Amino acid sequence: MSIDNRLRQGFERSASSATADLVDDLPNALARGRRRKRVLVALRATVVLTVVAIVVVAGPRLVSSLRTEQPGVPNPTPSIGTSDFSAIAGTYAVELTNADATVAANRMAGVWTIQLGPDGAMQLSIPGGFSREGQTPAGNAFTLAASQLRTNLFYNDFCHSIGVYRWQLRGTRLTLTPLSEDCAVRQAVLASKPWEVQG
Amino acid sequence: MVRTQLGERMNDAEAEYSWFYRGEYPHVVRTVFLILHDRQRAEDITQDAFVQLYGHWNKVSRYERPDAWVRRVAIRMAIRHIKRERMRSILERESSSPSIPAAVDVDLLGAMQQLPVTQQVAVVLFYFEDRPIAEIGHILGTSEGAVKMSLSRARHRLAELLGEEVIEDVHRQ
Repeated sequence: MSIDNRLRQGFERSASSATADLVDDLPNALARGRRRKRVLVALRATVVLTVVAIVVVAGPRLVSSLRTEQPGVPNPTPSIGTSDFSAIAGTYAVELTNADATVAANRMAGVWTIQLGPDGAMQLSIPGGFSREGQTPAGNAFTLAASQLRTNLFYNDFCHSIGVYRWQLRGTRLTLTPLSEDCAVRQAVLASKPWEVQG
Repeated sequence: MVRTQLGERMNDAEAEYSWFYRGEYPHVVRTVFLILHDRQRAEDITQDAFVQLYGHWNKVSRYERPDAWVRRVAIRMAIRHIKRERMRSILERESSSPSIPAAVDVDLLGAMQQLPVTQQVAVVLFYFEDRPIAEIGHILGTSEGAVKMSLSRARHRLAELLGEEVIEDVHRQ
């Protein structure tokens, strides 16, 4: 006999001995299938509810922390200009009022003081009421190039770009006029009014 | 809702599933039995495959070949079972006594056990189920060439073990 015939006949004979009991097996399969389906539905519902709960509870916190911290993005230094900051170095103050819409919207009204160091360092004191009161604002440098002042003030905080202003110091008044600025908060602080030399 | 011969109330999908079950279940049990050589285990695995089918019935019932789906699931379960069993110690295997009915071709099943599991499955699907090479490849997750190779090697090995002759090569599609 050929192996092919032997296999076909042998399998047919052997398989005929394995008769399935449909009367018992079908109800079992249906019952197990229904139970399995219920478990899967419950499991999926649990997963969905868990994900929803995580999004509802942790989502706003996560978004808030990303907005305020944005870790890993260093403050860029304003592009290099002159190293002689003596022409502008000093302490200046300005009082912002709610007449400016951005000032009012961000509760920025109050006296702001800015200290421009002879080394290009910038320190800003923030008035009470502003949401960042008591905190050191992100970005603390400026550079000068002829009549232009470039600064990274508030970078990663409210701003995502370098601001470029034309500066003009006449007597005791420092005026900053925006040349390239897409950050409303920084512009409101620096350019709403002329700054007055202090002390 | 319909009432079945078994006295159960079931919806249309379940009625359709039951109809399919009655037609296919015995065939799948026999195929799996020829792979496992254990009737009880073959029934258990086929049941598990049909339970899985129940969960996917809405989708699988729209397939062109729902029988191929459940057969593939059952065979893959059987292959996993054999591989698990082979991992166990020889002592444990010898102590277990699968329920082999008296009518079976014991020599053939014994020779089959000498083959790698993929060759066993290919031989059963080809000679018992009369499945085309391409479908066997799909079930095993391998190419048609690999299936032909498996069948050729299995035939020669089985012929040697059973003292039968190899007359022609396998090239049926």
